[in-house]
Amino acid sequence: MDTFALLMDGFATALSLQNLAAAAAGAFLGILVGAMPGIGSLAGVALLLPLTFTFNPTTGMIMLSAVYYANMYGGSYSAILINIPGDTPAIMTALDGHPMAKQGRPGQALFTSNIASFIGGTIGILILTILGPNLARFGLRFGPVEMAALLMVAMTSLGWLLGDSPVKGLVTTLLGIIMATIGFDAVTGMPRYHFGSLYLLGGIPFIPLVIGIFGFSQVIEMMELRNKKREFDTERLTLKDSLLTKAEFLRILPPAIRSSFLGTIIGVMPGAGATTGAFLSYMQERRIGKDGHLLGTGRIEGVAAAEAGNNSAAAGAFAPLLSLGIPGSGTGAVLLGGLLMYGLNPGPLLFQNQPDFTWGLIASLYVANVITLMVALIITPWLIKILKVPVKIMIPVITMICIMGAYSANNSLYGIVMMLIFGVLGFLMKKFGYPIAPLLLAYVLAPTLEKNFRQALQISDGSFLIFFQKPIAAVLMVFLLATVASPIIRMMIGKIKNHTKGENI
Amino acid sequence: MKRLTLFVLISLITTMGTLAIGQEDGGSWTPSRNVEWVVTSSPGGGSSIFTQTIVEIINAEGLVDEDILINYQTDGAGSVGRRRVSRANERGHMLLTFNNGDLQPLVQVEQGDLDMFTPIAVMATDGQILLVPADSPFETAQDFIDALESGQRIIMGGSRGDDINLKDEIVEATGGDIEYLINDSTGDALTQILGGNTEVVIAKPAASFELVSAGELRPLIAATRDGFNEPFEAPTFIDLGYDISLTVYRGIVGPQDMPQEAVEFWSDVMGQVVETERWQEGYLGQFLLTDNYLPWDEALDYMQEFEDIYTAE
Repeated sequence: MDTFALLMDGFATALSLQNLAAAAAGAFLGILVGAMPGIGSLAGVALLLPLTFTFNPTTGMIMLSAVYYANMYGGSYSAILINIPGDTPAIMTALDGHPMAKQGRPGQALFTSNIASFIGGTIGILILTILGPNLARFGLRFGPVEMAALLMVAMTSLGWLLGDSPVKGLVTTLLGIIMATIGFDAVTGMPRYHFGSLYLLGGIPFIPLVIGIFGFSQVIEMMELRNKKREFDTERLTLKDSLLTKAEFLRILPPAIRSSFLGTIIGVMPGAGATTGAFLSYMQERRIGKDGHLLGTGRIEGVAAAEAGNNSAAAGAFAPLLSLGIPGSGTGAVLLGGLLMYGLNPGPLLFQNQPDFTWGLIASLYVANVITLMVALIITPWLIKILKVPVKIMIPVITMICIMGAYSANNSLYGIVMMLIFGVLGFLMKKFGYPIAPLLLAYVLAPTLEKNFRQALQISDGSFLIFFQKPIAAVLMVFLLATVASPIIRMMIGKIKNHTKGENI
Repeated sequence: MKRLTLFVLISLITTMGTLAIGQEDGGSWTPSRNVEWVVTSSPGGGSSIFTQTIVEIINAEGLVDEDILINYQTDGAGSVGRRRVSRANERGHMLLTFNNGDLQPLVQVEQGDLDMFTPIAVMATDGQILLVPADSPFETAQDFIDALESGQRIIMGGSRGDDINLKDEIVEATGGDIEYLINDSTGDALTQILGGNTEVVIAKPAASFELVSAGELRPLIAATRDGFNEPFEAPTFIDLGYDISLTVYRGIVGPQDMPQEAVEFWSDVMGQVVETERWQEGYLGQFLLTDNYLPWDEALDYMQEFEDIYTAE
């Protein structure tokens, strides 16, 4: 049977009433779990996995995929509404989403996020359907050298492109990298930079860091501004006003589609995930998008790029899982566990040996995506009401969420202490105009960069030339050099121009 | 603010109180809430397959009433997860997958020892094998040995702990020039070799089974005493004239202050797991491991012997 016929058979399986109900339930639970900071998609899927054992394999996997997708949707809700990313990929969504909410357009932000997530998911799955195993082969070509080059490009973009001042951006990027090195060396396991502290030996815990620097810093800010005018314009918070106009819808299409393609490719690469997908998509939009320089001020294009990027990366991550049996992420591992539990052996032969299941799964990914979008759109009007809650109630509520999230990350008070410290740091950074996102992204990306960079140099026996000898890496390095050199060249051209002007006078 | 602080304190105390209920009643202990099982290598490797299989059997046989959640914590080469479990005050609700590949860095790099944990069981003995891509220039085991002896630079991938140990033994015995790329699990090392980034990989049959069966990778040399059956049939180092064979045990430990009743409960559950057909045929049989179940007291002595070797090195 050819691909198309197999896929149609898959749909016939996926579209039973029971499966649709399972997808809807999964989507609802997934959004709830995803919106809670501190419980990422991994924990979400892991917590809900036992629930699905009682179902038949197809129903179980449909429900799990719905949970996985819905998590991505939910993560962006808390990012937009209260500026606390529910999961790491949502850091990028918060950059434009929360300013939009502050400007009285939370509905549009949520709506854009939903639509872009849907577009990202759909394009990701389409590419997965058509290219499947070939895509996974392509991803494999990203070895240590290529990944190191890619991450170097990402790291250099951080400081230059986020925030108003490149210097401040570089400072926070470096701070993020320094923080990521505390604890144990990721390659050899040697302890480093812990200053004899048993707590620091375990590194700086990520969830308390995010919750503190994004969420709790905001509580401090709210307390400071308590007596001033309410910053949210809550007058226009009806459902009708929160829908996108046709013109706005057309505005988000190009960034969403561009980001979906990029995100899918990133998702397929080993070791890169939805966070890198969202981040690079946002960067791409900032460079090539119309009005890209306005990103970060509350633009729907920014939300669209980030959300399409992270959802398509999540779909792309299924390619290595299905065609090689190698899970790209912790969540992928849980899904893999699910597959094994149903007596399937994901690997090079899965598509050949179990066509009905594989195509059923891909069809169920489509179905899960559609159902998740519907559930998401239905609950949006209730969500925007959160912003109508007065500040004096919001302060204790967000504080409670921050404390619970930070505690549950490791079941330890250490998490709460770290959360409070980073809350103060975040508050001071905002006050003095230092962007927060580069710090977090550098913290997330640095360990992967370090590991791949060191391995690349191991392969080359210490020669840096290796980054120019492999074709994919060479292209990335040329791009990197152009990024670094372009402001300098622009500055020099400007000087020469001024100089010649001066001579003419 | 004062009232808020009080509120937070009360809710925290209540939460902790709830968590503490149901442990002190002595006698037969059973889990009273979700159990977290930490694996310190990344998904797709031998440890994750080992753990996943046990959890699957426990669920299928209904051996434990509460849910078991597997948490992959690879930070700091696994040391962060090991420390977390060691110090955890979760009574019987936390387990750690602990092979000699984990014990060795604990002893030799992190200055820790077995006293940080409570051994629960040793489940099986696993073995290592060198794999190469189907189109590798190393057509036979002898080609590879010749390359090593001639000092040719070879890029090898693998996981940590026992894999690094094997690499060191190969270098010592042959004088070869091996550049070794350390990965968080055999799964990651396999991804690397499939992409053509390494020439040889150290693996174990469980994680590489599908890839070898499908002909993507082929077995080159086994690092066990007796070698493996199909599809992992290959000469051993001993066949080739080198005395290299390693024993890799797969075991489970709990936090340092795990109550004795909980240790006995889990040790007993594992004893039931190894009796199932799914374990004997589906895991040991298919992935070519050797049955080596040891309950907690024997596991303690067994692991201690390995620790003594690592301390002496």
